[in-house]
Amino acid sequence: MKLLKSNPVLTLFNDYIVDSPAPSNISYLWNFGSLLGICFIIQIITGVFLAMHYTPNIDLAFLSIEHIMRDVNNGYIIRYMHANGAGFFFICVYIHIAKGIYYGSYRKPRVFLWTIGVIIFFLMIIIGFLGYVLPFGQMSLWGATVITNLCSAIPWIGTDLVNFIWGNYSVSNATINRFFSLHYLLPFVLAALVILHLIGLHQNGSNNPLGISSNVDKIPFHPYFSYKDYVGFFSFFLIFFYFVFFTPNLLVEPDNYIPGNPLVTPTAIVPEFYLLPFYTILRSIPNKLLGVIGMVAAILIFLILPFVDISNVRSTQFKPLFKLFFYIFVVNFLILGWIGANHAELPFTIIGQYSSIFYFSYFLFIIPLLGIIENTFSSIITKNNTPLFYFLNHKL
Amino acid sequence: MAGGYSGWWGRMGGPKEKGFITYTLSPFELKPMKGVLKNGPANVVRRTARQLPYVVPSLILLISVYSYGKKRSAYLHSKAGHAEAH
Repeated sequence: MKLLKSNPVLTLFNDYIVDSPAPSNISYLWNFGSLLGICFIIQIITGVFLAMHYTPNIDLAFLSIEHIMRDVNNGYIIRYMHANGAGFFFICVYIHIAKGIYYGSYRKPRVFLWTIGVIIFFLMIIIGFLGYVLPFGQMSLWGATVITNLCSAIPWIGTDLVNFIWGNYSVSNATINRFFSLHYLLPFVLAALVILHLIGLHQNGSNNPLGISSNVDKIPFHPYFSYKDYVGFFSFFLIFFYFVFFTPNLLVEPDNYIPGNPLVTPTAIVPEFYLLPFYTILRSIPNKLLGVIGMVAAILIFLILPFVDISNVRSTQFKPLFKLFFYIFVVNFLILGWIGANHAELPFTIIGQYSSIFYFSYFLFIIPLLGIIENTFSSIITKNNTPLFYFLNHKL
Repeated sequence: MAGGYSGWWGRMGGPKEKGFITYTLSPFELKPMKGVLKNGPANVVRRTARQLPYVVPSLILLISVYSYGKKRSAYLHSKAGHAEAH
């Protein structure tokens, strides 16, 4: 027997990315899973090299970044790859999530897969935030101050908890040290979750654009989708390296090139662009504690998708109303991001509030309601007993 | 390996499989680019146009909210806007 199929370790490799049965009809939107793997590898490799030259000390952190940029051989490439890589990581993860929502990939029997995915997303946000603090520019310091202060909204233990996180009475040397430690550690936790995500995926196989079982028409992952993934990789690197080499600071806040100064607050404290939608939800709720709960809920609300979507049909391709509202949801998400980049003043605050209400309504009211409406229509049309209806309804 | 819903080759969990035929096409028989110039553009236009009714309303929403926000913000920062606010 081939070594690939007999060796206990190579068997896993074979079962996951060589002989793995994949639906024949999955589109380029299914490339983003492997692209996220590539993003993760880029971040790990560049991160390890950055850590060789970075100094997690409040007096030296900013200078060590400048040292990497100016003195370390190709250090500027490594650092720009890491900084832009984070942005690309989140762009890919947003497209990956949007694909999951559009094609109903969260639904039974892939609830476990979806749940692990949401946890990965949450952890990614934490890791991204921790990393943004490390250069210790103005936005690092003040971003860290704002976000860690959110914990102070927790009743009773809030203030103590914030001091515990800081290791001091403000963002200080102890804070930056532990943030570096955690920024190095948590990606390994993320890697473990990614393996769980892959195990979850291979329990039931990939979903496909039609949303019906593809068991009658599978093809091996290699060569069909390994090569299709390469096309994605090359397209990704083309865009990624355009950013790295030609506009490396487009996605970065200029204020972060000013050393962190506790005596000077920047006029606007904004997180990285990929966290802006959640930042808007935080700012849209006037009460501090409720704002924090709202922001965390905005991320974790993805977990309820499998339970609120009661439609008989999985793929949005066959759900016109659902499709219309899906695009409105996407646009609303973009509006939330745009509002987050603006000052907290009229009319942006009020737009942000309406957008936040729509964001939560989408999950809590609109999706269940659309399910009821579209199920009713499909029942009327198909009279519940035609083969088509049975096929769509039967154990998808 | 890979139990659960979708089985491995030969026990996929679909209808009973029988009469397996394995075949390949010679690269000379494959025509991956067939009709790409003749039918391709028309297909792209038709398929894109069919999605427009779903996408355009949200795009209109995006543009109108964005331009309203920009305009209103500019007005509130103008002399007239300041006068209105106070």
